[in-house]
Amino acid sequence: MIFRLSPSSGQPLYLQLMEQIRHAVETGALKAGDQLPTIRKVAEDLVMNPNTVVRAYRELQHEGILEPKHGSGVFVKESVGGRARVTRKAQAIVESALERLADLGLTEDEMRRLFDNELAQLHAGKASGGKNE
Amino acid sequence: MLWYKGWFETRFKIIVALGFGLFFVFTLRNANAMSTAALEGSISVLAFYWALMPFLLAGAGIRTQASFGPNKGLHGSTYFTLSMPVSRLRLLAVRSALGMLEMAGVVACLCFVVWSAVPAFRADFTGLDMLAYWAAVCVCTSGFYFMSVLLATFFEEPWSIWASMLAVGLLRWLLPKVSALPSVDLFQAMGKSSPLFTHTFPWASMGISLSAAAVLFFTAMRVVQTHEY
Amino acid sequence: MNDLVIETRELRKSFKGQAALAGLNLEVPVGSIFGFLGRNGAGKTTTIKVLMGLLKRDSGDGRVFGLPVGGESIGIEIRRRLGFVTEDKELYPYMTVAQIIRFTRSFFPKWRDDLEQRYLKLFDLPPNRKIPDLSKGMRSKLMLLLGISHGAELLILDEPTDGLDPVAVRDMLRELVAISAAEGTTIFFSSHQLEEVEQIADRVCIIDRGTAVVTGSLDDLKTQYLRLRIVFAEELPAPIHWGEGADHIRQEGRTVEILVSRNVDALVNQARSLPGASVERLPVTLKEIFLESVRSN
Repeated sequence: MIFRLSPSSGQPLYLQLMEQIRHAVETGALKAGDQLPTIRKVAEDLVMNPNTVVRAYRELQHEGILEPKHGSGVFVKESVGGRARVTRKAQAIVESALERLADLGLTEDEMRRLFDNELAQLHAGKASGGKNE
Repeated sequence: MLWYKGWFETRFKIIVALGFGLFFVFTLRNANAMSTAALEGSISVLAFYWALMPFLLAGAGIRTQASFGPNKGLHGSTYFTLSMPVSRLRLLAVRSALGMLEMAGVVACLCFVVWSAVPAFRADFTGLDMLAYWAAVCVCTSGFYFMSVLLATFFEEPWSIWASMLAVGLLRWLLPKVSALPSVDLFQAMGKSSPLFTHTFPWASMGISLSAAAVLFFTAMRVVQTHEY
Repeated sequence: MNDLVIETRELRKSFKGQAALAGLNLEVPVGSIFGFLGRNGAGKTTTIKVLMGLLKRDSGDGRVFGLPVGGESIGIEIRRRLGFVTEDKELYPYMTVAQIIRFTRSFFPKWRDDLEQRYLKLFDLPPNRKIPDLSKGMRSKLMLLLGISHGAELLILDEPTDGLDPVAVRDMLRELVAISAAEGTTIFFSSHQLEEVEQIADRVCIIDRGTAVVTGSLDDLKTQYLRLRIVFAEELPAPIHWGEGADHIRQEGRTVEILVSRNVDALVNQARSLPGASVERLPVTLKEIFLESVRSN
């Protein structure tokens, strides 16, 4: 399991680790039922604080992506996969996009119009066989 | 293990102390017979040397390395020593005790060498005389020794050494002048008034030396306990 | 029971009329890796000396393992439970590795032979080598070994990576993290190397002129601090009056940058509400927080 973190990026390390684990699950690097490396191993390999690893694992357990198994470690949850995961990711994308649009000064109506516009174009693109604009 | 550490710090100094002493003995080596005055003279020089020797062997047990730079921040093994769970009194006590034992040993060695190698000495002094002399010297140097220890709590080497030498030099000049009581002159107690010539112990001087030693030790203890490192 | 290994309240200490510590408040939780940051002369070394019993404080409270600092016997008890790595890693030059282990061990009745053996091997320290012949990195590891082997609950390190080459730095950081994970030891270290602190610390305190100017969990600080860059469509007629939490405001032409230290939401809203404003959020590194905190003090 290869994770890569940037301590100086400004984003808390536990969030970075969580994203990387989520990404690993999505790309299939970690499959349902796989065991995650021990907290100590991750801390030593990445040279990061063990409490940070603990926090990341714990938050992911709350999110339902990881689960502990009879004291022998932390595993990727069997039920992970399917719509729930995708929906969660999509939600994060939309939330982030809306924030950035708000930062640019768009009103809600402007945002809605923009969204409808893009959706329509996406639909049109699909209908014509994914032709590039 | 503090004794172990102290030994490492002083083992070469013992050799130096012995070296100087042996040099002195060497200069007397061929004296077959000496007048009383001459004998008193050489013993006086020896007495002065006994008073100086502490500067080599005394220590306070805390600053144990010569430092030539400014001591800002936690530099030097001093801080390692101070980070150990041991009282400063114990550091001081062990180190001073070790130094005293070493001094007694060096004095014993040199007395023996002087007695056996210089015919003039062997002629005039018995073995028992030398033994008594050794005991008297040990007690009479204790005052000088603890003065050196106290100076070592203030200064680091090599400045503590220069300070001790200066102090001893001053005392050598001062003591005979200052007091009406001859017993205060510890140099004399180790020279003319020592068991070698009087065949009795210079009790008063020994008492004065021990009192001075006690006072100086307690002062050193207070300094070491309140000093900010 | 108290879950703070180190705690100070309004700690004060002056030297010759100059205040080195001017009311320092510190809280170090058990099991944390705590980064103690500050400029030279800010009071880091003085704090460590007071906690270890090398200096007496003037006023205020300090506690290590719940014990009040100050008296000599408590100082000895505290030092029995902690390990200390000095800045220059100087040990006795006339001893070998094995000899200094024997020396140190004599002061600690609860010495752990198993830990000594394990770390001797792990750190690859040659027992018969004289200490001056060891590199600084190896001396650092030796001092760590001495602390771990007596079962220290707290390790205090003064500039642990100072003078070490990059490989030795990575080794040292990794060892600290491993010790924290394996033994649960609390690690308290002072450092200038902000990137390293950012990497392994979970809590930090920035000390400036004898007081703590920033303190808290590193994760919280990273979410609490933010840089806002606002680009205006036209030059502003008058300067903007920013709300609380806008700490460092810089303006160049039509661009304004603020460092936000609190009230992020309120300030973001304020920024967005300005006419013709395009707002960008930028993350803040520990170095920026540090430079900002010690400058504006």
